[in-house]
Amino acid sequence: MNHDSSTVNHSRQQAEGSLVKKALLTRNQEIAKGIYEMELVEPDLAAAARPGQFVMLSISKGLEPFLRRPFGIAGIEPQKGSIRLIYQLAGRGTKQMAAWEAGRPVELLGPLGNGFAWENGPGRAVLAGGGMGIAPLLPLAKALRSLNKEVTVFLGARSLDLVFGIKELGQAGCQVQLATEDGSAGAAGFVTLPLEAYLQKNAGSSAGNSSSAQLQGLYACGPTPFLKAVSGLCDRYSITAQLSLEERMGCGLGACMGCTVQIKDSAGKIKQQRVCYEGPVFKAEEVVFHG
Amino acid sequence: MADLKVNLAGLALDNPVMAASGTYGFGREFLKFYPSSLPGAIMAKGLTVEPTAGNPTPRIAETPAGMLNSIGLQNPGVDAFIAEELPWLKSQGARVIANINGHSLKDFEEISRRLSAATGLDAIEVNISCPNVDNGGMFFGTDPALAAQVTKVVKKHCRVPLIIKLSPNVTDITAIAKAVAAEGADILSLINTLLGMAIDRKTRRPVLARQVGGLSGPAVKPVALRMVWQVAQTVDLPIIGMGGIVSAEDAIEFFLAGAAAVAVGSGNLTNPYCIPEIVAGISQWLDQEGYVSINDIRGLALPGH
Ligand SMILES: Cc1cc2nc3c(=O)[nH]c(=O)nc-3n(C[C@H](O)[C@H](O)[C@H](O)COP(=O)(O)OP(=O)(O)OC[C@H]3O[C@@H](n4cnc5c(N)ncnc54)[C@H](O)[C@@H]3O)c2cc1C
Ligand SMILES: Cc1cc2nc3c(=O)[nH]c(=O)nc-3n(C[C@H](O)[C@H](O)[C@H](O)COP(=O)(O)O)c2cc1C
Ligand code: FES
Repeated sequence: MNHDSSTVNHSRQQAEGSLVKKALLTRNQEIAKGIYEMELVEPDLAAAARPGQFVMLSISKGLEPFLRRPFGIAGIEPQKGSIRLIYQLAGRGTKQMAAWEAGRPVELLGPLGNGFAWENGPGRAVLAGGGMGIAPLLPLAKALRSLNKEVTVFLGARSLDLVFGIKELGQAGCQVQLATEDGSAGAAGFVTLPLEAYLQKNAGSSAGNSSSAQLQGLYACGPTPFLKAVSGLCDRYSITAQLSLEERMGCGLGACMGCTVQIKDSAGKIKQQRVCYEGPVFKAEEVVFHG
Repeated sequence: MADLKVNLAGLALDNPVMAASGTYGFGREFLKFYPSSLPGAIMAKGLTVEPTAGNPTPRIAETPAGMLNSIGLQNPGVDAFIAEELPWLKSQGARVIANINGHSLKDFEEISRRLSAATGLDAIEVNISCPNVDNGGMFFGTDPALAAQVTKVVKKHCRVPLIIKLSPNVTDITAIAKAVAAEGADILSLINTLLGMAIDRKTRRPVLARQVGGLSGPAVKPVALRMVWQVAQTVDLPIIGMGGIVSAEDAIEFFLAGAAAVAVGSGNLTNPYCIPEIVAGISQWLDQEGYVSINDIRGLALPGH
């Protein structure tokens, strides 16, 4: 994405060189129903990774499954030389991953794509994650907290047994608001409802708000209908937002044009951009949603 | 060290391993892995006269030992290629092959006319086989008479070696090969993707937004090898073999089947170092087997050898 001069530019360029990494799997465990967390040690990767970037994991050395799998980076610990991925069982690749044991070498490409951007210094940010979309928001929440920003995270899940990350976010000093579609925990229904209530109260000038800091922006990741709804809310309440998009990927490298999305520039001109290369993070007002 | 140089109807290359069109963009994305001058040549992303947005997503589906794509020829148009991508690739020392596409004979004529003014182009590859564009490739590539017409139209403006890229979606690929050879094709490349589909059991819908797409990767290798082997016995033109090549072993089999050079497509997507690994592997194999040149193994698996 394009960054303003006032924002931190976590561009891909810093990470170029050897994108092919051999990491060591040090932990792989179920953290929610059908959702696993994996810790991978690779110091260069941990040093280069930025919130919002992703990796393309090689599932097998053989021909099957053929393509690498994209996963957002869900934890970055440069001191430990490790990153974390949080993945949900979806098909044959993730099923194989769930059976991997600590000590196994894992080959991946990364870090890939451009991460989230933010302004330095204190302020206030809202994060909204739907389903697995919470995963890449975890390192972002921590990065924003380390700048002393007030961070409120809206988490949406189908049911309580699919929820993860609440404790981690709480420990980082974030306000967490949970919504489950079946009402098994938090607010009942879509998370965009409490999010809208929050934006209604907090958008615009900080005067009259319970909090003193200015709302600087919203960051969201999740299924496309969710992102579309969030984008609509941001438009309504005049809040700038960054969305992390998802598309089926052939290469993750910008070579195959498999992951194209339509992005409109400020003049309204529509461009084809690659989720894996120009993204996965885009400005909400630039994303053209279909259907 | 064995000699890897090849010369295909005047297209002289330092090594016989090219990047297949559509899997390598215009080379820029691979610069962070190795120099653009490393592949024997780069077959650039398929071009159309005007910029093309391509198909809706999903455009990619995984299949057993392969993949389907329905990119729909997303590209910036031939003029942008001539103005930006070609000079950039040449400045990197790459050998560049333009891959051209059209919806009509007029399109093919126009795109080859514009390319005739471009400097530095090493060859033109005509995609008569892309199954993705309505009223386009499939139509030309599956009918010998139409394939011949396209060849004739492009040949008129072509000042560099002319490669015709054949579709495997035909009953008899040798009939198409003969037809385009008769109209002045200098080189043949094969195969393009095989038309296929994938269905999502969960949604009960095709995975690809365009329902069907082109199958590539190791799954198609036996089909590609067979077609190279058949065409090599039918026409006397150099062949660029491709389809499922992901290792030096795969590539060597294509040379034995009669290919003069090979191209790597899907292999680039899963392993960014696929081409350099194959170049090194071929060289090592030739040394180990006692051949002095890559040309010495060409066609050894053909009848009569
Ligand atoms: C940039 C990006 C970041 C992602 N981050 C995460 C994450 O942090 N955690 C997580 O659980 N999932 C994430 N996903 C989705 C994840 O890539 C898929 O769930 C995974 O590839 C499924 O693989 P599989 O072999 O289990 O499923 P299969 O259905 O067997 O996969 C078949 C093919 O479809 C592709 N595919 C299937 N579902 C998706 C999907 N939703 N998105 C993209 N490709 C898909 C696979 O990559 C593979 O090529 C992300 C996707 C993208 C594009
Ligand atoms: C994502 C993708 C895009 C492609 N685009 C083109 C194209 O623009 N023009 C073309 O002639 N062939 C195109 N092809 C076909 C390849 O060049 C090649 O012929 C085919 O994939 C078989 O080789 P492979 O099995 O090594 O991939 C494309 C293939 C893929 C996978
Ligand atoms: S996945 Fe190949 S260009 Fe993005």
